[in-house]
Amino acid sequence: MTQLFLANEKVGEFLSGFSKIMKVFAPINTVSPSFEEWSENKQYFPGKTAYSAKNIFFPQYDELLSIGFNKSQQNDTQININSKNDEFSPRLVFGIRPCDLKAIEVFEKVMSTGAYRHPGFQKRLEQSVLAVILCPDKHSGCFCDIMGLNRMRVGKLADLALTPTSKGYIVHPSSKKGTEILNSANLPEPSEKWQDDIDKSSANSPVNDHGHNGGMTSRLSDALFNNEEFWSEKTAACLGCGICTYVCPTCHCFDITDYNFGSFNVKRLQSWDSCMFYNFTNEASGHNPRKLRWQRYRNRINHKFNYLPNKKDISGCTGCGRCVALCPASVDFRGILSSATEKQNE
Amino acid sequence: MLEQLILDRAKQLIGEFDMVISYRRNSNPERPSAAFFKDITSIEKHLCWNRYCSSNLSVYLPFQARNGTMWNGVERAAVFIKDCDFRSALNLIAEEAIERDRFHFIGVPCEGMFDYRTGNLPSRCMNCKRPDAAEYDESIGQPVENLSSEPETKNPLKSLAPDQINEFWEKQLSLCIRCNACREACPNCYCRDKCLADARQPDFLSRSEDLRHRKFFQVIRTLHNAGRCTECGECERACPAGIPLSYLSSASSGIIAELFNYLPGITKKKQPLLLLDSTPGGSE
Repeated sequence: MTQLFLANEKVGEFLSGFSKIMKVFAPINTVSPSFEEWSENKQYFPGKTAYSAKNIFFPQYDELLSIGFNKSQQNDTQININSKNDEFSPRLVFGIRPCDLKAIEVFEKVMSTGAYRHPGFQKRLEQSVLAVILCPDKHSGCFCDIMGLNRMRVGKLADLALTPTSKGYIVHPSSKKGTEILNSANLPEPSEKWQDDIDKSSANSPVNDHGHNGGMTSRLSDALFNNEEFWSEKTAACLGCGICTYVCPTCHCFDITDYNFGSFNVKRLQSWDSCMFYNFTNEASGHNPRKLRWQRYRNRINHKFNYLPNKKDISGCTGCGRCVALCPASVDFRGILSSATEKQNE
Repeated sequence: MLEQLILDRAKQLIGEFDMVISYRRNSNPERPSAAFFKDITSIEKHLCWNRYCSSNLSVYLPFQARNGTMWNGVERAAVFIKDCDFRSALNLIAEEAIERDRFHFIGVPCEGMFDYRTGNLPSRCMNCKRPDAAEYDESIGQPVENLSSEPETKNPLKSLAPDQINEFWEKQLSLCIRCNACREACPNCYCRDKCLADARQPDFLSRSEDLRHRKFFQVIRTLHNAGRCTECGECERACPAGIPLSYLSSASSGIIAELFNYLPGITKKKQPLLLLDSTPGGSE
């Protein structure tokens, strides 16, 4: 199996080289590190990003259609409908982690299988080369292992797998696309003893699972659904802000709205929605079945641990820990899920 | 120790009141969350008070926010509260969003709450303006000196020219992901599903990503909070993108203080400053 070496100091060059022939997305060092389009003046971020990579395949604001109205000589009511979701150029997605990669599998389950498919997602994914960095050890706040993820296993969607060592990454291809990319990259072979040098530096930061090392079911039943008191009490501190859903790599709920930007310039916009928002299930009639915050939080937990596992046979959570890290009210869903597990088994 | 005093007092109060509101210890001791206790057992098990109790408890108190079943049958609740949160509560009381007679406020001395991410005291603590301690129903523990000897409302961008200020905000707000955390963390934002930013008819703010809309969201919030914002700093603390939203609160509060000599939650007026009713003669 081909194994090549990408030195830490050569990462920028590697990314810049590819950015000449395709779009390149990589984790960028900012106040809240996240995936951005690479350019030379940006600083590569080698750790786990604050936000997930889903924006690359499922943009927060995506123009699905634009509708224009032309008056031409032949036909003064010519309506033009342009779809932007047909063609996507090739792109390299560098630096996602096993949790992010697993989340793309969840997206695939939801967006690319079944009777209704999302046009833009699958096309973007097909054009992507996914280079995943494996995690020899957990980062602070991660609990992927509890969610059943093997951090050193190369997921099925990966094209390139990178193992971090103290001096750089050991790169090996795990698909035809990956092999092609690697062939064009001109990387040297690694030194013989690289296995001894696997970077466990992330293990030096305290991996605080804070006692949440079990007791959470991977399949919640409907038993607790109507227990208003349980959900109300457990989610009392939640502000309903939406940070958890926005940083979560698997959250995929969206809204579609049509806007008239003036001068007959109408756009159909798809945007991220959140089950934490009041208007999440606000219906045209004015009825809102999830008007209260605890109902919406109940929905979130059930979507990830009940509906997706039971109906689509995949967990809605990959254990990346971002929701826990960024919640302003310090709500930790793991405590709620543990209590739910205990209670439903009563 | 302060936590023990609070624990003991809470256990006494739960007999007298239907609910005790404070913080609960979570598995990460640096991240307690707001808690609503209704019995002694849960108080003994979970109640905590440490140097990381950052959330503003007032955000949970307006009647518009009280929609969990734990509020059923709660006539009166006792709240262990720190100065900045109480200042927010006083403003909400003046606006009649919180019914004064339903709450018993116990003032807890505070020397600042650390940000668990940095281990430092945030700037809001260094600019602490306390409300009148006489407004508390009772106090607990030993009073402590205010961290900031002469707290002033300063606008950190004051020395910049208008287009420099605009440049600053455009750079900062390009990081905004419109998650609405600043709004939800704010005790004053209790419009819930009637928020202007979410309105569809008319559609003031679209779901578009452009910078204009992100700026507009903050402009709406700042203007709607003018004369009401108590500089609690929760907006900035909640923001996942690290945008210094407290600069907006400081600027707005500074202008209000200068023009009207009014500090919401501190200055006593018959009516809140910019919420005049239709009675001729208005407020004092």
